[in-house]
Amino acid sequence: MNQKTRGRLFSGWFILVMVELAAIISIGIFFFYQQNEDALVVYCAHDAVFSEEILKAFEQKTGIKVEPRFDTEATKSLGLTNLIIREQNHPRCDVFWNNQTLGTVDLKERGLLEAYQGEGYSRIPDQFKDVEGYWTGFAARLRVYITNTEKLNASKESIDQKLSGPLNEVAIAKPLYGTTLTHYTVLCDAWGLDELKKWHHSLEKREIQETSGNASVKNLVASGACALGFTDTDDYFVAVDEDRPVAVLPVTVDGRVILIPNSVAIIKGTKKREQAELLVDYLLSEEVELKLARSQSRQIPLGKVDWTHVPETVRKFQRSIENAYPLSNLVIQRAKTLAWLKSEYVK
Amino acid sequence: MSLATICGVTLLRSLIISILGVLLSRPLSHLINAGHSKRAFLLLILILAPFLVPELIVGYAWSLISLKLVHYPLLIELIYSSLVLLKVVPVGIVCFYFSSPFISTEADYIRKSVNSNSTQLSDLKTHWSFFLWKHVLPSLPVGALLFLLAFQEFEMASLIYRDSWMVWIFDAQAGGVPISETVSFLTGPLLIELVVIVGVLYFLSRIRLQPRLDQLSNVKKTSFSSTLQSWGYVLAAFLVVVVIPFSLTGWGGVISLGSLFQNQLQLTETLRECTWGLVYGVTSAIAAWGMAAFFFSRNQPRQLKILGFLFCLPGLCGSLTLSIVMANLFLTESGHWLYDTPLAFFIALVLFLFPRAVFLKLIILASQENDSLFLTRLLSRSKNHTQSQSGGHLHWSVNGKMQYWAVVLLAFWAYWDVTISSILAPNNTMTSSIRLYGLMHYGQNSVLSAMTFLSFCIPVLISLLFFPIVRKLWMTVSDRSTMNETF
Repeated sequence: MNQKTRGRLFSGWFILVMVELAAIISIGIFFFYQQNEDALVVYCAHDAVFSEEILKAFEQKTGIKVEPRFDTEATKSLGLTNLIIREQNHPRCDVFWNNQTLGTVDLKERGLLEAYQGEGYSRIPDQFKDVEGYWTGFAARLRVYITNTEKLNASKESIDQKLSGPLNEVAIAKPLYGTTLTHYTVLCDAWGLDELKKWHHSLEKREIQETSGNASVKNLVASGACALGFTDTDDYFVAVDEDRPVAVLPVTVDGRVILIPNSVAIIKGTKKREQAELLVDYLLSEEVELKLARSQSRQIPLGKVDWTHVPETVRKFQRSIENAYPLSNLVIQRAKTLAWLKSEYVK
Repeated sequence: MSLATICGVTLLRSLIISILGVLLSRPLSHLINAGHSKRAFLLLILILAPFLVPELIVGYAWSLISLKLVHYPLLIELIYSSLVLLKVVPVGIVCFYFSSPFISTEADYIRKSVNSNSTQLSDLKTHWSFFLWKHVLPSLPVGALLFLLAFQEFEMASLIYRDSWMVWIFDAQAGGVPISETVSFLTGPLLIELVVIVGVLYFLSRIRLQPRLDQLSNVKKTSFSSTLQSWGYVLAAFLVVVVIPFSLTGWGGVISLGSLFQNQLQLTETLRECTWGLVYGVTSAIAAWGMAAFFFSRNQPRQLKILGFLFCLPGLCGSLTLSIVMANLFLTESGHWLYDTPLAFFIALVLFLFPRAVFLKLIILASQENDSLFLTRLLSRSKNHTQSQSGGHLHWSVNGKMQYWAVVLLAFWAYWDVTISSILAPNNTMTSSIRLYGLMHYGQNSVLSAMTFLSFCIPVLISLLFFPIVRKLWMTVSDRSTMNETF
């Protein structure tokens, strides 16, 4: 039986190929059209839920289209800082909004940033910005101990006591990245690398619960699976909003708190310098710092703001601004810490 | 833990899962009824459901549950391994159902009947040979497939914080390891996968030399108790992988939908990203399906099929391997013009979907009889309008419908992919799975549940909406053309 027959005018194959081609061409045209809109490409490590609104407000205010790329747990694989390093020969990004400073400082050291000292730069205290204007910090979070109040008081004594014994009810994120890396870098600076190694191994020996990120530390403590954890204020406030029984105490090193600002920088080679400057000034404005203070992440404003407009929950951390551990000169310590941590985790 | 240790852990876990998966799938395959009745279709959906539910949703729901068990790592490992097992078993069931037996029922019956010591059929060597050909050898390709699926699992391992080589490489990347070094890290896992793939291909090529039984495994009469056990398993798997995750995310999602609709920005962005996910999903699914149909249609020469298998290799090595290698290629001097464009993302998705498309294509080919297909085509071309219409309907039922759902399934996989999207999707055309994955780690439950619910419902509703349209189009094309039955 000859089961093969010849096609006539429109075979299923023909229609399928046409549909596919039409779809691909449509995507291409749309993409090309979007590229021609000349949007400002912003790599944003700050959480999309909070930053998206601010970037939209900037769009509406200036008419400059912004094309954000957000950092998530998923993009850890190419993490935005690493992505900028990898793309250095063909940069895509115009402005980098990092949710911390050390990674941005690293980019400056590699010569991947352009200096800019605009009106936003001038309203931020010196300790939170680069002297030459390659990056500027704003709206910070604090490194804190988070406790489950049903299991542990958030007092220095009880936390110290808890940390001196078995740590199977204490959680910390893997220090290879994020603000835990910043925490370790500060400890490296304050104690020296050898002491830091001893401390780290002691935590491991006493079976501390190591998780993939600060959010999971918060989850463990908020759910009562752990009594104590190391995290940041933004994660703590998520738990507060969920009505979880949690409290915090700032982590101190040599009597100073670890205040981790967001940072913004213009990427070297940008073809939209003027728009980039406008965005940098906007992000460093009082308006944005207040918005971030009132957002769910409750960031602490660093520049001069009207503190009466800042929520009470954030206002209580105002004094920490003057008592913050200086982070801008820790490039070498970060490199040393990271090199050691890589030898511990990436082998 | 070092990469070598973690690779060993993943390898051991995947081996156990694949062996258990094979042992479970084989008896369960008898549950599937042949035929095209609605009941058979629903049963198939019930069995396949655990495999179809996105890992992102299952991982997220079970990460919330396993949170309380942080002090019992073995229990969490058991939960994670069980989830992977429950997700891969449906693939095994389908494979066993559609694969031809190596030993016919008649031969087996004769062996069992002849029990005399004087016959060669009752000696130990023959028994062993029968056992090998009846149980072990047919299970090898299925076991290998289940192994690859378990070995490449990433989203659930990441959300439940289990050790896995893919999670490890993700973490290494986060620590700023150069991409060239990451590619070198991939050597070990890639080698394991290639050994499995090449081994199975070699085995299948050897098997081809044996006389072939052109019959599907006969539907055996099974005892009431074993049927009851099979049903118990299917329902338990459905409960664990479908009901529990959806009741955790779905209910919260329905409640929070109102607040999501009030937040115009979140809603617009979620819908925009869902649309991109759908556009990429559908185009890459059609392309992968077209390629599978081209390379693996019945009458294609062997050389072309071998070429098709070679195209399967990148996808079989896993989405992480694929996307890192592709990102590396597109960041080179000669490839950077493609970097951050939809084309790079599209190519990666097609390569990722291709082996899955081939798998579905082979299953559909195995379940279709050429003669019946030809007869439905013949009937649809009858000059009598009623006859041609009935032929068109029949042809849709036995061929078109299955192809439609195969493409929908492929598009669904692409839509929910996290790894390739996060690495290769252009900035302005990100897909919703990335946002969800990020939020799932952050733990913002109220908005997240609504967004997850919406992101799940959109492709499902669209696939149901398009079903009658595609059916109508199919009929129209059937009326006007004489398509090759091998399509």
